[in-house]
Amino acid sequence: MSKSVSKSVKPIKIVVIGSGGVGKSALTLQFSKSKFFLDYDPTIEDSFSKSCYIDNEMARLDILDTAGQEEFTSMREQYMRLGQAFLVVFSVTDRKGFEEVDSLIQLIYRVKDREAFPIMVAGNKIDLQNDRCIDQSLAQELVQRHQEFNPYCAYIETSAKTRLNVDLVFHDLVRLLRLYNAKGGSKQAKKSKCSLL
Amino acid sequence: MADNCCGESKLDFLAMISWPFLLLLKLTALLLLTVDQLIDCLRAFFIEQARIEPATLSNCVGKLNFESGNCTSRHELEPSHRKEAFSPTVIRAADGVKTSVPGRCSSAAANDPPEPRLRTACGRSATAAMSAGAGDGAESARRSLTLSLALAEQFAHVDSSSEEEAEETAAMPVSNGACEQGCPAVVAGAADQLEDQHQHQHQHQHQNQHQHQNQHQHQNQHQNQHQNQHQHQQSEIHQCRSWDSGTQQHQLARRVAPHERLIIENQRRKVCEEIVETERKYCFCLWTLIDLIGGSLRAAAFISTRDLCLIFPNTLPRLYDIHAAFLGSLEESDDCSVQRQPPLPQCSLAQAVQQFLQRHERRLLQLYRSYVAQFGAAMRCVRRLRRRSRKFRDLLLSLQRHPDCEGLELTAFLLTPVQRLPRYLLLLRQLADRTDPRHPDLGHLTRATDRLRGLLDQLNCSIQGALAEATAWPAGDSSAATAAAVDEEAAASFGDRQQQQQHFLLGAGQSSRQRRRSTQPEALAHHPWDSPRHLKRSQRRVAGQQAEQPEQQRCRSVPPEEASGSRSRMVVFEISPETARRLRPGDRSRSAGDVIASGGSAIQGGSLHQAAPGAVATSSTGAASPATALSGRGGRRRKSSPRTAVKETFRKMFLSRRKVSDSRLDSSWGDL
Repeated sequence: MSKSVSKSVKPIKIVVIGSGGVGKSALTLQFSKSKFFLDYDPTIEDSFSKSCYIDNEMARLDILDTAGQEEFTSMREQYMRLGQAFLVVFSVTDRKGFEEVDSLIQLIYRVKDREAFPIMVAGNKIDLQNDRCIDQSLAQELVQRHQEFNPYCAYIETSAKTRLNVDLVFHDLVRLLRLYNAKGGSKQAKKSKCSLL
Repeated sequence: MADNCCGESKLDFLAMISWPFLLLLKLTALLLLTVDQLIDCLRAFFIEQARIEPATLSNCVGKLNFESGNCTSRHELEPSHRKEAFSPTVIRAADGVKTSVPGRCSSAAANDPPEPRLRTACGRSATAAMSAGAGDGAESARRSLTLSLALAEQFAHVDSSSEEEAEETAAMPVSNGACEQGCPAVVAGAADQLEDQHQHQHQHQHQNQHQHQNQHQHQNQHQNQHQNQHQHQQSEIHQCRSWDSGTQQHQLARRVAPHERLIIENQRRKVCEEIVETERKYCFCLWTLIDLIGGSLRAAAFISTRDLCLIFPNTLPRLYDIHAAFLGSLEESDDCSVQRQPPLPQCSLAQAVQQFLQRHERRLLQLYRSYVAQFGAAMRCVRRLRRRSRKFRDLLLSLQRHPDCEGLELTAFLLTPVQRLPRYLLLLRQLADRTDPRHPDLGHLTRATDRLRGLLDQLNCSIQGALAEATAWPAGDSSAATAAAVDEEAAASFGDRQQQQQHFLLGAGQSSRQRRRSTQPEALAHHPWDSPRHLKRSQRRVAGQQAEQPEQQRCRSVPPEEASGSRSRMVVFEISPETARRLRPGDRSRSAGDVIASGGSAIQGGSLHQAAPGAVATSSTGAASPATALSGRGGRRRKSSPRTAVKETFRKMFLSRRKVSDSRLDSSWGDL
């Protein structure tokens, strides 16, 4: 039964982006396989799939983990084009990663050619409170700036190590996407089709 | 008189007989003394070495030499000695011995054997302790002085002279220590003196005492000894280092609290280990990919050689070679090797990485550029094969279960080389974060990071070029035929240029026409998630970017269909084989009949190319937008009858749409 349901559900393509070493793989692995690897470089798989019920509705998530390719900025657009929802990860212990968040979000808008798009910003590694250099308020401020024109943008703090908010961040992203699809997003797409044909 | 003569001759005779014995005795004694002093010296050196790494020392040679003006004994050394790589340590150790020598000499001259032997033993142990403690600064020198004095008191025959001697010898290292306080790097290294090392010293002193008791005292020749010692030290340096390589991690500044320092040291060691470990894993991955997977796929008869060429490009073995060599140099470096082979000059891990990047920069760039450029095509090829062939799927599954593959599939292995270089950057950054600012490795690390960043930037640029090409070419991987066409292109790029040339020239006939017909509809397929409008815009953006790109890249990214129309294709080829090599086989599929038929315009196009390639490129990129090939073609045909062209266009689009929707379900993640 569940199999048939999951097959009938269209997969949601989620792309995880962020600068290097912020814990993208860790988040993805923790969510999809409930594992946390202390060592670096635990996996080289690039995509995961997971089905779950979110708000009593089945969702099949295809998560694309872009870890290890951060330096190849030219590849970003390639995989951004494929995503339906984005998880932008930064580490609260890494200022450089945080500074990149804004430009990444801008890039999503540009590649997707939309003003608004479902984007979840995740501040990872909050278990390392001692090394923390990015305040929650700072990140909130950034997201609020985006929320002015993109209501489908939210911030959440996570820890892949302790599994704090890991499920929530993905589930919220799916909720955002549903909201987006229910309102403006799909309309735009339909319009575009019509205009072409 | 005769008696006298007799007596004299007897004396002479005795002297004659005893002379060789005396000489022998002298020589033996000298040898023993030398050996003993050498051992002493080496011990001092060991203890020094445990604390200060040669890199640190050689880095501050200049400073030390400058500072050592205060230490008079150092001036007596020959300048050639100072030039040696490890000179400060050696000089200091030699100094320690040197100052000990006069004292002993005088005491040996003044007293009869047993007493001075003990005294000198005490004095020398003090000297050893002093020269050992020299690195630790004045305070620790004083501490070791008290230690040695306490030792000396254990002997019954301690007189004032031996105490004086000990103090006299102590004076030198103390001043030495004072000198070193002027040199921060040495102090940084020296600050890592630990309690257990003191115990070490203590033990050594005990050993020294025992050895000294068996020692014979004789007059000595200082200069000879020093030179001997110096040489021996040089030859034995590797021994010292292998003896105590485990303690070389203690390198951090004095400011860091001990408990924190230990944590940071541990972290740093872990990062070092991680670098080596991931490198090993990477080499293993490459090897598995080449040997196990490549071998079994090659053995399977149902995969064409072209596909094999695409999935396993010839860059892979070269990558493996280069990284295997790198792994070797990493394992030999100071930070990770447990047991080192003696005679190699050592360097730290950071230095090894830096040297590797410096030496192989161009080669790395070349190999990775080539690999990354064909990576997308390889992935598409694997997907296509998997979709089409059941045998291939089964084979991959059986390979995945192989213990060497660790449950990872072929695409994961193919992805590893793409991810490797960026990972170096992360690892180096981690290492730099845990390295003390005054550590000499930090310079190597920053240089390595800069170099790596440059390398990645270049690589990124070339990927961008390749991708711009790929987006200008319809990027849909869900359509098998498109994938085939793109794959073909990549495969051809590996092929022989000669062959290609022939292909270009002979590609006129029926076959190319057929191919064109077969590939055209699919060529319009988009990625399933790309709405046409979106694709259009993104491509327009790409076109805009291309206009900004430098000449070289622009030329690369010119979608050949529009670049000059198929008519000038041959001419383009004639102009520069380099450019033509980059063009796709899809262009080849353009009938040469057209070319011949419109020879005039071909030449025109060619001359245009020749005159201003930039102009052509920009104009072509301008046209490179909506569904790329589509509008290009449409545009070209519109000249004859625009309406039919548009109709045809949409018909093709529908065709492609339908095709896409069929294959959409099983299409996996897009081509990255």
